[in-house]
Parts: sequence; C-alpha cells; structure tokens
Amino acid sequence: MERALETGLAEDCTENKRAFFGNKSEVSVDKCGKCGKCGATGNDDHYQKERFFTDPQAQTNIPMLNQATKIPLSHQDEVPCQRSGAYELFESQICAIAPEIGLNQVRKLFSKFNDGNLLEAVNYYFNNIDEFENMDEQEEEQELQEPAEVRTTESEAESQQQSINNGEQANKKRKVAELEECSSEFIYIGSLSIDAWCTRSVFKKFQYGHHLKMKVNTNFLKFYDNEREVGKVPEQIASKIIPLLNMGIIHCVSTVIYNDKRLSIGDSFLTQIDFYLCRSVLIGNHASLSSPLNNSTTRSLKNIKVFRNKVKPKNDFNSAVNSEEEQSRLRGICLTSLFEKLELQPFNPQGKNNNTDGNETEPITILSDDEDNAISFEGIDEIKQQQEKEKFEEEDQGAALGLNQLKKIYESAQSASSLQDFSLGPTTPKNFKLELRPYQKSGLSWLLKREREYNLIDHSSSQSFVNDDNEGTMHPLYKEYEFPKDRSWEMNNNKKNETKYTGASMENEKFYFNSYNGDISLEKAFIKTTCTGGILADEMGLGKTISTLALIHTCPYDTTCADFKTAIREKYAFKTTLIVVPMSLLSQWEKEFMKATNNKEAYKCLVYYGGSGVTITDILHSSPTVVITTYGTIQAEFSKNPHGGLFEIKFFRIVLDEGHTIRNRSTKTAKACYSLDASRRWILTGTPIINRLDDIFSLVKFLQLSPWDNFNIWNNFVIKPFEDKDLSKSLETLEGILAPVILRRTKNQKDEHGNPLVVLPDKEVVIQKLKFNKLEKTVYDYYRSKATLSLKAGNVFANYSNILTHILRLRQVCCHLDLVQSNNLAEDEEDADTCLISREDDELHSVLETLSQKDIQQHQHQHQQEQQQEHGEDVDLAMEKIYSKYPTDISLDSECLICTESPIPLRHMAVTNCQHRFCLRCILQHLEFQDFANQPCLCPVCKATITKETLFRVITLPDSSSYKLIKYREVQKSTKITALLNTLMETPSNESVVVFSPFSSFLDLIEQELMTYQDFFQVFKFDGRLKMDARENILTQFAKSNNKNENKLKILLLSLKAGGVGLNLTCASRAILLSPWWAPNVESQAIDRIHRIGQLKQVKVYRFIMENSIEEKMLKIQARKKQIGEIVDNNDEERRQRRIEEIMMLLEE
Amino acid sequence: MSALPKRIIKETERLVSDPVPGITAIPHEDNLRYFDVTIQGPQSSPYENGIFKLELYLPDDYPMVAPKVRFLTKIYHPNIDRLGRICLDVLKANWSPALQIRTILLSVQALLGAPNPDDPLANEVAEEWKSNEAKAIEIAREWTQKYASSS
Repeated sequence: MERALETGLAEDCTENKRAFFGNKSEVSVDKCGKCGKCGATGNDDHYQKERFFTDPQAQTNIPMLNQATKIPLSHQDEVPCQRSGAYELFESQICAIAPEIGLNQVRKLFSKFNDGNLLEAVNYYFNNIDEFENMDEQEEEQELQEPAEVRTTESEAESQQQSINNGEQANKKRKVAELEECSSEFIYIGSLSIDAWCTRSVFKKFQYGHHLKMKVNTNFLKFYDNEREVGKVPEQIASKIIPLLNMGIIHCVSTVIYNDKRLSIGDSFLTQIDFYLCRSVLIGNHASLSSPLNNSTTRSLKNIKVFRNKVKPKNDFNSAVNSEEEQSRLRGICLTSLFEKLELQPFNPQGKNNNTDGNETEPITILSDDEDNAISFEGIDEIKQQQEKEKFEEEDQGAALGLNQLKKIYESAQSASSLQDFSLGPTTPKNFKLELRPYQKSGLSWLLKREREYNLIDHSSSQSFVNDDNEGTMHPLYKEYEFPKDRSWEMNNNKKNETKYTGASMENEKFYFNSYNGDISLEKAFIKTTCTGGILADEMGLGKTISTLALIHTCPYDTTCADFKTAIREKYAFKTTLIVVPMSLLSQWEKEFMKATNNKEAYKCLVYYGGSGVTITDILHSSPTVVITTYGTIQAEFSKNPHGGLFEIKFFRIVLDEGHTIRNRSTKTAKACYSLDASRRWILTGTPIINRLDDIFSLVKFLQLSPWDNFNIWNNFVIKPFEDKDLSKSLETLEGILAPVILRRTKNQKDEHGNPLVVLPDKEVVIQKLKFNKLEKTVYDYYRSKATLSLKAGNVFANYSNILTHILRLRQVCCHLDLVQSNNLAEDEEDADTCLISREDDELHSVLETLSQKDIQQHQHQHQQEQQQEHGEDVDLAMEKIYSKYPTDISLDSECLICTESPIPLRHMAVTNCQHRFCLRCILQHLEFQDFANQPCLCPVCKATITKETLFRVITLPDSSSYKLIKYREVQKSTKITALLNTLMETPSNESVVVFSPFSSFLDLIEQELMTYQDFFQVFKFDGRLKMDARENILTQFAKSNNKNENKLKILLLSLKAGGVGLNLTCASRAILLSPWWAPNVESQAIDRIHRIGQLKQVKVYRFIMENSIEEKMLKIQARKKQIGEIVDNNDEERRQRRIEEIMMLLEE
Repeated sequence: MSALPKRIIKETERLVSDPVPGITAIPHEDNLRYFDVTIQGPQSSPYENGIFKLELYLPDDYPMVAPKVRFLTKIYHPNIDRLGRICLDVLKANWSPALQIRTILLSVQALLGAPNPDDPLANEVAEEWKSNEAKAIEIAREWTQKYASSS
C-alpha cells in the first residue's frame, strides 16, 4: 500500500527531473519542454482514445510480438553486504535525479564512485549519457542472448522450477519470451492511443500502421524497431502496464498511427496500443491465481521496491503483508487503473445511479494507519479530501451501530441461516446421550456441513451438497465487466484471417474482476469459504453448548490424520477439541460434557487450568476428546510465551464459548486466541455484535475467514461504506461475509411447521415499588440535595466523578444505609466509579453520622428512649413473667394475631414484654407502621406500650424440652431487605430463588440477615470473589433437589456481574432483582439464567424499585435505551455527552 | 396489586365456615378485599328486625390499618352520618392488627345497640337524641321499618 503513493511521488519526480535531464544531455529544449509539459499537465491530448482507425493503407506485416519481460536482476544481492546500505542510498538518490537510469548503470556508477560521491556520479552520468545508453543496450542485448546460450545454470534451473510450479508459465523465458501463437491465448480488452516519446532518433519516419515491438526495460516500457530502441511509453501509463506485463497478465501490440517526420530524441509520435488479456490468467477457480506467482514477478517487485526508496512495511498486524499479498495487490491496482484508462466499466445490471457507479469504478484504496503511505492515484486525493470533509461535517460516528442497524445485521444473518435451516435435514448425533431438539439436529447438520463432514450428515432429507460452496452470493470483491468489441488495429483492418487474437468471440462476454488482488475470472465468483468452522450465534438458551457437544461427539477427531505417531511428531492433537470458556462456565462445560457422553471411556475430558496439573504432553499423548480451558489461562500463557504451551500444538478443533469475549482485537486475549492453531474453528456467542462492526472483525479474524481477516480489506469494504453512510452496501457485504459462516436462530423463530423453536414456560415480571422508611428518606434527601448542589455548581465535566459518586450513593441508600457507611465499597463489583468512594472525604462521613444520629433521635420517641434506659431491670422482670406464663412450650396454642399463623414457629416468634406472642416480622411491621403514622406503639392485644427494644426472641435449647428468651437486637433492616424477607416468606419452600444485586456488599448484608432465618432458608452466595472450585460447589449444592425432609427455601445470592452471564440456573423458578441496572439487557440476561431451556415451571421475577428515587429514574433510562438503542460510540465526547444527559435525567426533579 | 395475604384468606374462610349470628360478610368474586355485609339490628333496640347492608373494604395495608366500613342502608343513628360513615374508635385510633373483620362487625352491631350521642357524627340526629330521646328512637324505628325491613 505504501508503494502506490511512492508511485505517485516517483512520477512527480520524473516529470520534474526530465527537463533537467534534457538540458544536461543537450536534447533540444523545446521538445523537452513539451514533454515535461505533458507529464505535468496531464493527458489532455495524449490519452485521447481514438479507436476508429480505418485507413486501409496499413502495413501488412504483422509483427512478432515480443513480450518484453525484462527481469531486472537482483543486483543488490551481488553488492557486498556491508555496503548494501550505502548502495541502496546511492541508488535511490541517483534514481531520484535520473529516473531513467538502469540498475546496471547505477551499479557501474556506484563501483566507479564507490565512495558514494553522488554529485560526481551524477555529473559523470549526464556527461556520458550516450555512452551509458549504449552500454545499457549492449548489456541488454548481451543479456538477451545469454539465457539461451551461456547462462544456463542458474536461469534454467529457475525456469525449470517455475515450470514445475506453474506449467502454464513454463514458456516464459527469463528475459524475452516469445509468445506462442495460439489463437485463444489472448482476449482483447481495449486500445489506447498514446503519445510515445522518441528516445533514439530514427532515420526514416514510420509508416502508418508500422508495428513496433514493446519491451520492458527496467522501469520503462520501450518501443523497439528491429531490436533497436526507438521510443518509450510515458511513465504515467507505463508504470501501470509494466507490472502487468512482467506478471504476464496482459499483452500489448503497438502500431504507429501518426508520424509526420523523421524523429529525433524528444519527439513524440502517436501509437495505438492494443491490450489483450492473457487467457492463462483467466480462471474458473480464482483461488489458483492467489497461489504464488512466478519468481520473476517477485523479482520485479523487489526491484520496484528498491527503486522507490524502499520503505519498509510496518510490522503491526494491520499493515503486515507478505510479498505475495503485495503482488496481488499491485496487480489489482494496475489492472484497475488500466481498465479505467480503457474505459472498461463494471457492468451494472441494476443500472444504479451515476453516483454509485462512480464510486464503484474508483480504484480501491487501502488506507493504512499511516496516511502518508497510502496508495494514491489521480483523483483519489480529491475523493479522500471530500470524504474527510464529509466526515468532518457529519461528526463521524465511527463504526458504531444503532439498534436498528444492529437489527438489520441480525436479520440478515437470520434470513441466511433460516434458509439453511430448511435445506438441511436433521442429523442425529452419535454416542450422544442427550436428546436434541429438532432445530438442534438441523443445527448439527449445519455444523457438520461447515466442517465438510458431509458423510456424517443424515441424508434422509435427500439434499444434495453439490453446490455447497456456492452460497449464491457474489464475492463482494469481484465486479462484473464485459469484454469490449474488438477494435484493435488488426480487427479494424480486416485481418481477421490472419489475426492470432480472438476478440470477436469474446465480445459482450462477461468477466469478473477482483479489483483488490487483480484476479480475473470468466465464471461468476461466488464467495468461497475456505475456513472450516464458523459462528454459532443462536440466541441465549437455545442450547449452543449442547449443539457443540453433539458436534464433538459426532465428529470427534480428524479422520484424515490416522497416524498417531506422525501427529505427535507434528504436535497435532488431532483427536482433541479445545474449548475456551469464561472461568465461571468451566465446570458447567465439564459437567455438560459428562452428562452428554455415553461412553466415558472413549470420550475423555481434561480441564486445562492453572493448577490443574495437566501438561501439553498429556494433551498430546492421552489425546482427550476435549480440553477445556479459560480465556484467562490462554491469555496468561500467551503473555508468558506466545509459542509455548497451548500455542505449541495444533488442535483438531477450537471452540470459543461466549466468543464475543474477543471482540476487541487489540486485547491480549483476542491476540492469544488468534494465535491458537487448529484445523477447525468455532465461535459460540449469543451476541456477535455488541456495539461495533469491528466486533465482528475480531471473530472473522479468529476464524481466518480469508480475505476478510485482513483488517485493511475489512476496513475498506465494511467499515468505510458504513462510515460513508452507505449502509446498504456495507450490510450487503457483511451479509455476504457472514451468511455462509453464521447460524443464528432466535427463540421466537418459527420452524417449518410454524411452531416456535422453543416453548418456554411463561415469565411474569412484577415491579414491586417500595417506600422509604423515615430514616432512609432523610438520608436519601440529604444525598440528593448534595448531588443537586454539585450539579448546580456548574460544569458537569469538572464534577463528573463527583457526581458519579453521588449517584452511586443514592443507589446505595436505596438498598441499605450501611452500604453508604461501610468502607469496603471499592471491592464492590460496580464499574470503575466505585473506586472513588473509598477516597471520599471524612467530612462527609461525619456529616452523615451526625445526621443519622440526629435522625434516629427524632425518629425514636422520647419516652421510648427513657423507657429503654429504665429497662435494664424491667427486662429481667418481663422475662420472668414470660417464663412463668409459658413454663415449657411457648409455641403451644400460639397464634400470631396479625397474620393468623398458628402455631408460630419458634424461630419466628417474638414475645412482647406484655407476654403476647407474634411473628417477629408481623410485630415489627406493626411497630414500623405505627411509627410511620406517628402513633404510639401499642401491643395489638393488650394495648400496652411496646418497643422494638422490649421484644424477645426465642431459641430452643439443645434438650428441646425448654426454651430460652433472648432480647431482640435490631439489625437495621432496610426497606429492601424487609421486602425481600416478605417475598421470601411468601414463596413456597419447594421453590428456589435467585437474588440478584449489583452490590456484593449488599449481598453480604442480606446473607447476614437471612442467617437468622436458618430454619427456613438455605442461603448460598456466589460472587466474583469466589474461587473456581467453590463456585462449582455452590452451584451443585444449589441445584441439588430437596430430597430430605428439610423443607427449606433455597436462596442463591448472585452478584449481577459474576453470575449474570452463562450460568444455567433452571433449578430455580423465581428471581428477585434487588436494584436496577443501567442497561436493560444486563437485567434480561440475568433473568435468562432461570428462564431458559430446561425451565419447566412458570417463572416469576420481582424487581424491587424504591418509589420516588433514583431507581425509578433508572427505569426511565432503561426505557430510553431500549428505545433509541444502545449506541456506544468510539467518540468519547459523544459518549460522555450521552452519559451527562442521563445524569441530568437521573437528578432532575 | 399485591397478592392476597394469608390472613385475609383465613379470615374469609372462617367468616363462611363459622359465621357470626346476625352478620353475613361475603367477598366479591372479582375483588376478594371487598365484602358485602349485612347486620341484623340488635334486639330491644330501635333497629330491631332491620337488616342493614354495609360494604367493607380491606386496604392494601390491612391488617396494619383498619378495614373501611360504611352503611349502605339509610339509618337514623347519632354515630352514623347520611353517607353511612361510622364513627367508631376501633375503626380509627383504637384499631389493632389483632382485630379482625368479624370483631369489627360485632363492634358495629354493638354500636347500633348503644348509640353514643356524646361523640356524634350526625349532629342533627345527636341533637334530637339528646333533646328528645323517645322521639329519636321513634324516628329510628320508622327508618328501620322504612329502609331496612327485610321484605
């Protein structure tokens, strides 16, 4: 890509220096000036196309067309190493001054002035220009003969090699290749009339129709008349044609059209060049052209590289291209440019408007990171500028996606895959214990098809796979062209019977041109996916894991690799599938695998995880069916040694679970994943695009989905049209790329019979609005006013972090006041904002403390306080009275007069100082209610004054014959905890409940609280602080069915972040979301933990929202996000702006 | 609408299975917190032989707050106004969650047997009651005959 710009530069150089060169060499100035002018001012006259030459007085001799494939020797090889740097410098400098100079000449000059004295060398060169030219020619002639006669060793060996490599190019000699006179060898693609420039004076003027030979001499395309150089093609055209000639792609025939006088150096004469396409480059299978070209092209490319100041390609992975790629790109560029000159336009059947036409004909620019190195053709700069202007005006949105666009992409993926759904019958997996659903079976067929395991697919549905590779989508890099009518010299002069070139037969035939790599094909180019694997993007809960396991069981190892020993030698774990999963899913995968296989001997599973003790040698030798590892593990190994460990061996198959983990291609994890080697690659993800088109690129890159895994191509064909607001084009391309490799089904999708794919039990989501109690309200208002203050203080940006802290505070107050006061909040699994909390100033703390103190004082009535103080003695008295009233069994004949529970379970019981028994929560509720209504707290039964402090709880003693009273100690219960308790109490004990909160410290508090109800609840807690084995243990315990008599409600406290993704908790049918989260999809993800395949009961979800609080506003923001789609921009500014808008929403009245 | 607490279900069941003599309370099918209530006038009171219709509603916070009760049948009583509202301490400040629908309705029935013109709600009635109790009782009897007779 760098080269193109250099081309431009070199051309500029040439034009400017030509005059200089002319002066020095005493060529007549006016001619030279003219030439310089043509070079500089463009092609007004010279490039006019005159195709209708009807003068019948043409010469009859048809020239032997010499394809002049002068291959410049790689002379730099011969220059001693230590001097090569100096030589290159010298060469580049001298080339800049005298662009026409040949390499041999440079070498001569260099050896002559090997002190690198450039000035002297240049002077010498120009003073002896004729001599040099002669020398050049002589050498040329020498070399022309040499290959055939003397120098047989090297060159023939090479040409032999070439012929082995590529039979059709065997006839090409290293220097001059005579073209075989095979009639079908060439196809006419157009003519160009150019002003050739005379380089040697001629004795008599050329006749009209005189044929000249054309040869490439170093970097010039020269005309020869009887082996004598007479002129050359202007550089601007020559630079495009030479590489093509060198590569043997095109063929030129030149005819003199107009020449009115004897030519001297610098004169111009008009020639027509007919261009032919070598039939050998036309391919049915375009892949073949991508294969290595013959050495000569490499050589010439090398040469060009040297000639153009040799800029080393950057080594980052965006621009790193191998020479093969460079070649094909050069070919593409040159052909594009030639087609343009020949006015060959892409055939457009729809007849789109001119604008798009213009876009399509424009050569493909591949922008590198460094704009300076970008390819530049005439006009491109303008276009670029224009684009940049547009970008500037439109505040470039980057490749971020709106929700609607995202939908479109998904739709396209779905439409493509649903087609396949019906074209493929179901396949029943082998050695598989679990029963697959119908759509999973057809999914399996698709998976096998993608792996080319056709014979493993059940053919009951009698589908043929003949057209398998032709997915029906034209390769987006290809454009359709039509061969033009043959207007070559010979055709026009009615030499049909003598012509060697077929043209007429090809007229209006179509061909397909890949402007990126220059491949030309007569057959319509369909997208071919060479990669085996793809993206299984079924929606959450459709059983991606099961489908994958079915695939692994059906096709467990590489059948083409039967030799175990060879495999080990080559470090090919041909029987092993590597599964990379997020850590929380490690054990789940292992379990699922065990559950699925019905032959535990044959299908083994290894967990490769830090501390699992499994080594690479184990993997190779014991060849387990699957090795499960985590993203963390491969990332750690990759940073340690990018070629060791897992990266040492090649796997049969790699599966990335939750593959969107690698969506950012610059992350270490993503790079580590790219480096894993395997024959087959799969990605499982429910959300292939999170918010940017680039997300997909990373997946494509991992799949090695050529050519899209090259970022430049991706950028050019997907990102750029998108940025240019050409959405349909971008999506079209994207669909073309993804359709063959992605399978996505959604829960709502209907099967062929019109039934939904998955029928899940109903889901009921209840928003439970809660009211602050007095204290909470006070604290909340305090923080609210603080937040409003800092918002009013002016700049939101300046106070940004401050305001975030306030928002967090408000959210915490909604949960529990202790959250605000505790200091360990930084450990919370909030986003980065949380860290600010710990740094919060002490002042705030003291303010808060006095505030809450004051509030508590207000809140508790004066007399209650007094009573409490007096109570020291009263407590004993009251307890004695109770003991005497209920001598043995306090629960006997007990009924809670508030909830009518009878008898009251001991754990639950609270006794008042007036000896009346209630459920603790009932009497507390009563007290709170009275308190809230500012009414005296009286015993419901006897109207004696009671307080929370004078309540007693009951514990049974070990002998269980008696009981003991303990004073009730108030754990400060927040409204939410109370509500949670109530909800849990109402839940039948045979259910299991999952409780979500984003604050793990809140979960800690809840755990503490629930511990006092151990008779009713079995509490589990799962958050990010847990170790791997502990996680697994907890989940197993939670999922275990209640077989014993203990009739306890199972509760899993789950932190939203650690447990929101991937876990399968279908054993529970209730969920409680304690606090809302910003993004609605995070919540729905959490709900989907229980509402997914395998769930048999009706699902009930409670969402706790504090009334008149920030939480209600958060619901609004959720709604807004759902509405406008969650657009996350690359643009920090905009993202911030959006966040600020949200903040304003949050804190407004 | 929150779920129906166990207590309400239990109370309703008991009202049906073990009815209070002279009182019926039947919940609406579409709203189990709303009851159609009838109370027989206590014997040897001006409301004797009358059957009074009332409505009873259990608010969301029940039993933390008292049920709302109102006479639908016109009644001449110093503690019940023209709209049927009842002035009764257990329905107001003296409510306790230990009280139930049944006890509340018994209290209302008792109120009919023992009007309290010193804490009036219908001032004119209370005036009449205080100045000319015999006449007031006569009117109450007439009203009972007129509005609350079973036929």
